[in-house]
Amino acid sequence: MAEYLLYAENLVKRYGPKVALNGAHLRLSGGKIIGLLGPNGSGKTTLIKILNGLLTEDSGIVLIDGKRPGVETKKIVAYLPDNTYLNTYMTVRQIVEYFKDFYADFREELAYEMLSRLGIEPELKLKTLSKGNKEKVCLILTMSRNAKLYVLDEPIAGVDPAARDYVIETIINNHNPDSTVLISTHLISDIEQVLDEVVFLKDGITVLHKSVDEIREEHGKSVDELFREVFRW
Amino acid sequence: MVKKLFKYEFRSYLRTLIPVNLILLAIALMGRIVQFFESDSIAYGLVFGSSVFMLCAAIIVAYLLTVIMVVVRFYKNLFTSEGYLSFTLPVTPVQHILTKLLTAVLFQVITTAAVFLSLMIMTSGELLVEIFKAAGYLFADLFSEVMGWHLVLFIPEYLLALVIGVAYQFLLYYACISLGQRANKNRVLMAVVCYFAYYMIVQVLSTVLMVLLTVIELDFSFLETFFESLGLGALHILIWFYLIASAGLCTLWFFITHKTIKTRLNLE
Repeated sequence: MAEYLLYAENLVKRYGPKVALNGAHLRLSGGKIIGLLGPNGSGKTTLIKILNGLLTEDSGIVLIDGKRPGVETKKIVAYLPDNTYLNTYMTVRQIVEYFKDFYADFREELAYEMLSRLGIEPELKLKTLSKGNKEKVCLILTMSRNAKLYVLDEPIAGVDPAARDYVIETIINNHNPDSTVLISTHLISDIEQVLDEVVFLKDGITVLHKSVDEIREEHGKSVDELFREVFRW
Repeated sequence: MVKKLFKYEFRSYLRTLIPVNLILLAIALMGRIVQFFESDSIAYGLVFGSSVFMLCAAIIVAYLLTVIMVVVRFYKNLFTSEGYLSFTLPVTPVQHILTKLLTAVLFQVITTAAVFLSLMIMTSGELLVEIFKAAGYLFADLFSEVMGWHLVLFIPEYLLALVIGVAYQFLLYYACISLGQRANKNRVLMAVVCYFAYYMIVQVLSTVLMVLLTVIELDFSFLETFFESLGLGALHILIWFYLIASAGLCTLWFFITHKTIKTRLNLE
């Protein structure tokens, strides 16, 4: 367990009669970019919420850097949810201040640099930004942290292809090279080229965890092709 | 971390409640200005009556908005999309709850101070000065004739009871909102149901207790003798009984809220 940055075993989560996670597991080491892949409803977001302490698992265990999700793990995990969570009455500058206040690893200069490249004025209120720009601000805030583990939930879903390139570029260029980036998505072809490993989640169960090179060698297929095969209706 | 949480909590209250309190003071000021044109005319009577009515309405609205703010802020900041940020901060649930409670109580005090000030403005202080004078005479009388040094203790006890009473009410809201979060659906509705269910249970229990006491006809004369022997000291015992009971219930509401956030958090 200790050798893994993220260790999750036998995770079970039910929403009433619906089983979202049915014994999922995850073992991630440091310094990798990992794709958490699965169709809609496969349990990706549930798993990510449990890792971040936003959901309580019914059974199973999660350890991040050897600790249960809590104050200590939140100091080293940078999380990007799949929805905009910002308090929209704040200005961009105020939300940057907020992150700087609470996260010791927050890189303020980097945040402002990324915002200026996008042409987002720090004095603008978040509610005046377009949906796409709000999402970009969220991404910038997350990637401005010098975290050990980045957990990004569907960062490229719902954005146009040009914006997808921006998102992927931002992730690649700004994460700490020793850290692990866990990216959940079902848009594999867009992200395949940056992944080191992939985890397939199907009906709340981890059905595959391999490196991208292994998949290409063993299956003679791209991740996208293997995904279509595994998740064929 | 508590200091930082408090800073942001305070700011969010400030945005809503300071304008409300300023409007309250402005209404009082207008009411005072109206009095400069005092006459026996019907028009003056109508305008003055309206200004008094508006001030009363503003006081009710100010208190109501404070309570709404306490409830909405707790729910929105922790259990809606904002919770994704709040609960990924390196902060414990205890720190979240205590900061929210502290800010809520503080703003209740600020609203009370604004109400007090608005009454001072409206009456030009005259009425309140009279009230203070009367209270002063009363206290002096009580102090010298009846209560003596007991009064010195009664004042902080009474203030403590007020603060605990406010904290009790807010923590009850927090507990009900948290209990509502344990449901799979209709969580806000469940929170409201919890709140009314609590008051119904209290009503039923107190009615049952009253009936039982009447039917059983217990002899409470020993209590009477006991309190008589203590004199004014008995009042301290009663106040402390209230304080301890309220503090006990505050702890229970806090425990329910904390337990739900700590072990049953299920953000949608």
